[in-house]
Amino acid sequence: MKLLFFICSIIFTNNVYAQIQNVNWFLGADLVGVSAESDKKLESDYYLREFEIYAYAPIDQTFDGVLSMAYHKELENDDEHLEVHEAYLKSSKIFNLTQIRLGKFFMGFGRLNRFHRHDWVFTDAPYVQKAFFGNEGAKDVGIEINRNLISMNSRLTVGVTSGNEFNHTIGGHNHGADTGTEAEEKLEKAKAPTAYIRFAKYHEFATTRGLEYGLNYINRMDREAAKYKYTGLDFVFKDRIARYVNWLVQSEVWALQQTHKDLGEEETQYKSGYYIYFEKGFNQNHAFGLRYDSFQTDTHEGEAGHLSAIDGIIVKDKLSLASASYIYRNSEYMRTRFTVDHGQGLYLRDEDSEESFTRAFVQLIFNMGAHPSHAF
Amino acid sequence: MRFKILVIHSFLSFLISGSALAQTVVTTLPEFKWAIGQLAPQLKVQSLLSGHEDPHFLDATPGFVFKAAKAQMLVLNGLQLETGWLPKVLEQSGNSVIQPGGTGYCDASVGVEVLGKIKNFNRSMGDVHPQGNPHYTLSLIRMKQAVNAIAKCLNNLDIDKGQLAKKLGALNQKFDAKYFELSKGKTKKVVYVFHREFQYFAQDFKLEIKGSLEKVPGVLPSATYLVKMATQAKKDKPVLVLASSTSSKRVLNKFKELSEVKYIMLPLHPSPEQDYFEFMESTLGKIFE
Repeated sequence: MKLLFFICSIIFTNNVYAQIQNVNWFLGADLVGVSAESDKKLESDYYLREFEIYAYAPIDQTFDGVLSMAYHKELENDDEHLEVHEAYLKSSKIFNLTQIRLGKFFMGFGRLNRFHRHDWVFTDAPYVQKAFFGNEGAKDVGIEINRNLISMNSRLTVGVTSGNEFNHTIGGHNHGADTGTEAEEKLEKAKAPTAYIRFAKYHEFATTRGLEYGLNYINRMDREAAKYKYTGLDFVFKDRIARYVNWLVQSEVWALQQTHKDLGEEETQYKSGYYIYFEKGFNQNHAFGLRYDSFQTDTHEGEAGHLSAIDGIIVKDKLSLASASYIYRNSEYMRTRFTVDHGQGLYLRDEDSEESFTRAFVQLIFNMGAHPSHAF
Repeated sequence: MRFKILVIHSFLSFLISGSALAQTVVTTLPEFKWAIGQLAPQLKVQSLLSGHEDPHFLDATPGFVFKAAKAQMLVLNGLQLETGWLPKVLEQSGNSVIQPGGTGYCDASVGVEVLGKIKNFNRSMGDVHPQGNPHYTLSLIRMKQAVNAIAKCLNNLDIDKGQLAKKLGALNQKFDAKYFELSKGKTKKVVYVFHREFQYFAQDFKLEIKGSLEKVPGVLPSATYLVKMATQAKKDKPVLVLASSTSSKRVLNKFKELSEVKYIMLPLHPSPEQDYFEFMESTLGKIFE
């Protein structure tokens, strides 16, 4: 009902006002099918993962505005909901060489976090991304400043946000089966703002070939005064031929130091993970991708029950996951992705034993309207 | 507390401290760089593209962003040729002067007599441009119109206006002379094209485009469609298939095999240091040799 109301409102708004005001509209859908081995107690489903509506336009002579809402559902539960993804002002006209964002947005660190999920180069996020930043990335309300350091071919991003929302598992609405307490407490405010910084450097080999790497640091404190310090490196290399990406190499490495007080004593936990993805394009229609990802945690024996399940997977010591994808692009606006992955070294929900698993994914993504131009 | 104030003060000083923009012009296409070199040789001009790319399909690389960030003027082709990447470059540049509506934003298509405008556009028509075919720089007549639009923009910069007008007059004459020279004696030829980049070029040099290897613009043709076009080619008798250097060679070879019609792959833009007239001469030479 809520969705129907939402769609009707959008259509009404679009017809009556948007065409007059020259607002750019973009609508995107992301359908995912997952099939896991039946004896592994992992979810299998075919569902609409996300339907996003996105509007952007100049507000006045100084600011542009971006508003986006998404209806979505995650694999691990049946909760379907509608939420504001982003609502922010941005301007490139206030300080020279500087772009400012103000409002609610996906924070500008790492690689995946800077893009909406329908633009990701794979169907299922790497485990480290999900564990640290949620299924679709970390977002919050705050301010972000991006400054070009042109003499160094670099860009510096600094952001401060309220800290009340970080990712769907940790801070916002709850998706996990084991985080009921967090959900009940979600209205409590964070004890301190979240702050982050990214320094990115670009190497241009040709106009169609380049490499960018970014160094990231995030500091946050949640509502229970647990402290999180994330350190990360992101990397992307792209080689484009005519209408398609010939080679893509993308990677992120993240480490998290998490400190919390347990019965008055301070405890520190370390988690880390990475992924590396290679994609080879054959022409404008066909591409093939391979990804390896790994996640480690120093959780001790017997503590696994305290960890949150992500898509039914609880990692106790180490998870390794390899996947292969075939991507068919019918056009720039529609693609289908077939993926098979195999994971090893994990604890599954309701099981206290290490197991491996294999899953198959099919994903269909399409969009309509004026998709904003893409960053590198 | 004092430390926090010091940090905030330093950060704000850093934000405000943007270096003054050099008298630099950035162009998306190399032919515009050449044009500015003819009109105002004292300006430092950089072309974002080097001429071999497909300008529709690029990423807004940080390399482009950094070049745009320090420019006092940006000259673009317009008609949505750069729509997939240039808006993001402008946004990330943090350069207020070159934003749309700014004094340094120069759309060279303003004043160009555009062909191929589409009224009721939707995406089922493929990769088409509702505002008109953007490949006007392959026409000497339209390129002259674009050069006049660029000269108008350059008036916003701190340069000698009299000198600019003089150079523009001379360049206009060169365009007329070159067009007369290159179009002289050309007889009508029937051609096929891979994509619709040659619409303006064909009009300038009496080429009749009777067919396209793409059924839907921007979409690779099916084998069935290629067979149909090869059969059609027996009737139309095109002398050549014109294709850009970024077109699919596999498709062109297949069509050649089916129809026995030769193809020629041509760059759509000169290289950044190439003379535009020389580029046009060489392009024509390859077709009419």
